[in-house]
Amino acid sequence: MRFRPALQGLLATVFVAIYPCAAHAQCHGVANGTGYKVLLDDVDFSNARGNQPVLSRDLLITAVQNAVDNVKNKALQKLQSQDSVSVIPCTGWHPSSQAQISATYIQAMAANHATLEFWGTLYSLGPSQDEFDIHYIMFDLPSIPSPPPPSGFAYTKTLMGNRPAPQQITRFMADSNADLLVYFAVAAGVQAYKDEEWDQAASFLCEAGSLLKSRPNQANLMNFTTQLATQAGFKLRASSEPGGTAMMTDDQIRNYCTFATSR
Amino acid sequence: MFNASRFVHEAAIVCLIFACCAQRANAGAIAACASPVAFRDAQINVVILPYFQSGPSEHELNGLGSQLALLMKLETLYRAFSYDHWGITLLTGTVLQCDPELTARELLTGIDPGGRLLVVWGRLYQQDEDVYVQTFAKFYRKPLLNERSAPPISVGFELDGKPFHGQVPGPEFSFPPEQLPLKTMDAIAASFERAAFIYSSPDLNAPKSPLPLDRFRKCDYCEGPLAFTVIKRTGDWVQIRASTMIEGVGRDGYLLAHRADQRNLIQQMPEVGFIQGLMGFLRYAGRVSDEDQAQRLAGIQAAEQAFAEYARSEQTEEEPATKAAALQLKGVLQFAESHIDATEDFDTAYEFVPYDSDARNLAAMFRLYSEYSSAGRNLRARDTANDFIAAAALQPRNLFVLENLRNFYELLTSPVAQEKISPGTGIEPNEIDAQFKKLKTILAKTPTGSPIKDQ
Repeated sequence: MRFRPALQGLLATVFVAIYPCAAHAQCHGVANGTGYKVLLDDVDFSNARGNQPVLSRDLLITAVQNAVDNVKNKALQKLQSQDSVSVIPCTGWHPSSQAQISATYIQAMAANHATLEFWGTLYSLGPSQDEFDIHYIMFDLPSIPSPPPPSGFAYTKTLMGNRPAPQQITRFMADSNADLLVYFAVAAGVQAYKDEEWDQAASFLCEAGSLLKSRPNQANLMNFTTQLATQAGFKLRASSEPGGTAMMTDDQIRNYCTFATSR
Repeated sequence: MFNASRFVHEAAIVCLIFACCAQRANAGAIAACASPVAFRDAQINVVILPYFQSGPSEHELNGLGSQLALLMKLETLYRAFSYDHWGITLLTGTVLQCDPELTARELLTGIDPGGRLLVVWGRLYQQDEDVYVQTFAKFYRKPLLNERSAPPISVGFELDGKPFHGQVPGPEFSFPPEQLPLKTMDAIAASFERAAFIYSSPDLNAPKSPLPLDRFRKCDYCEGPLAFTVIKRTGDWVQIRASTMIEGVGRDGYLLAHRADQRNLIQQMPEVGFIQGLMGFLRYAGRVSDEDQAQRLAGIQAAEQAFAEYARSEQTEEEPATKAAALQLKGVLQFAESHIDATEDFDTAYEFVPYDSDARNLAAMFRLYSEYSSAGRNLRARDTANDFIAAAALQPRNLFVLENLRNFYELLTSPVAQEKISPGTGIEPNEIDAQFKKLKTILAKTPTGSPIKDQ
């Protein structure tokens, strides 16, 4: 069972009570449970750029839903408990932009033990091109003082002509799967770290670090996850139930993820 | 020309039910997903759910989801004729009725303890003349009467009396998104229609009747069941018994196990091969007593080949965890069959998922098996210990790993093992002793004790 300090529960109650955000009303069940929670917002069109998109929103919805099933399957496999991961649909809630997400909102969601939130938007860039954006919020990242975390926000942008090639569509779906897997691993690792679930923290953070290796433009996020994994490793070894970390040398723990994921 | 002397296979109970579904709730009937069917005495039941599109789509599927599920089922049926004692069911209904977890829960109540269930489902998106598909699969095992829940499936061996175990991948698998042109779907369906005949006797010249596939091809809510049971497979022919009379044939008939037209779904959807392999794995792995050994061996080899085919496919690269699983399950089957050294498969699988504790554990175990079993001083003790420690770093409370590490240190204390250690890779006795003591303390504190072994 995941550790839930009483203070965290109290904070959750206070934040939820004082923060009248639409998302809370839409994300039924976000305050319940202690597992990892993925909040799935609506996928929507935006005509903020003046045109109606040509491509179907179904493509974005399909990619997002597949990614959710995929990440849930993998996380459950790692955690081996059916109620350890939940996907909470936030029906009717679709942030118009990242700017709509305030620090207060992030704190409130973190206090609700939400792990990650994401949403998709389809824009038209003109008569022959559309843009698919997927935004992610990793709620607990801002709460980590050291090593300094990168932003808890991430987003991907995919441009598609209005008659996309089949390979573009399968690539978009596969990339959406891979992206959510990375951001969930980061968010879950950080959340576990904050909850002092050191073994799960190390496990998720090394997974994230390994998946981020092939993304040179996200070196900051990779370095952050691997450094935090090392901290989790030292804390686990110093705990009363160190598990496998008791077998590791100082040097191995200092390079925790490199040691764990290289042969 | 058909040769009757090739009838060699044991009686089978492979069962087939085509879409058996009543009208929607507004017609007052219950859809099949809401009351799913399993074959109680089958060793493994495979259930294929319709493919659905996501969200409140603006477009009608026009039966595409059911059609794809039907093709998936036919392909699975034909590819799995080399197995025995299994059943396959195609269900139809609404997306809410066909929730995979709820359907599985319902089905498990209807099968015998120890029975396996494999549920396949997916999602599709249509763009112009193409369908884009992503498939998922999950297996279940009904707990035995003395179990509260089914334990994870593991593989293991002993080296000089010291046991080593690893958890096999699963139970859930995701497959990469695939493009499937509508015209290809139609061509495959037409190929089945041309080739899938029920004959009145095992003779190509005997009276025959086509499988009424068209009734089920393009509907989301089909009415009326058409079910038949495969009684036995003998050579190229599969004897079936239909639940209703088949025109020109009667109730008993024969299907040709191989289709002359090789157009099939696996070229677009390699997951069909993985599912075939997984069926064989769940059917044969770890079950040795009172089985027909020739049948078992044929089944294992067919499953190995199916996994190998999946792992070789370039289309599967987008889901490295499932590609790794194919190699690991193939390796487990090879090992179960004749203790063939499958180190390379486990090593390659680990490379696909270097963050997976169980993958590292399996790679470490089978490398140890290979080095320890070969003649000469090949055991790289330090590397093997580090392999297990790295697996423990990835999942610090993984009992399989911690017990393997403890047993490995214990193994190293034997004179036989010392003779096998490659020069320069040994571990000092005082270090072995210290690590062994630490592990004993760690394992004594673990709340659930030793992992339960299924095989």
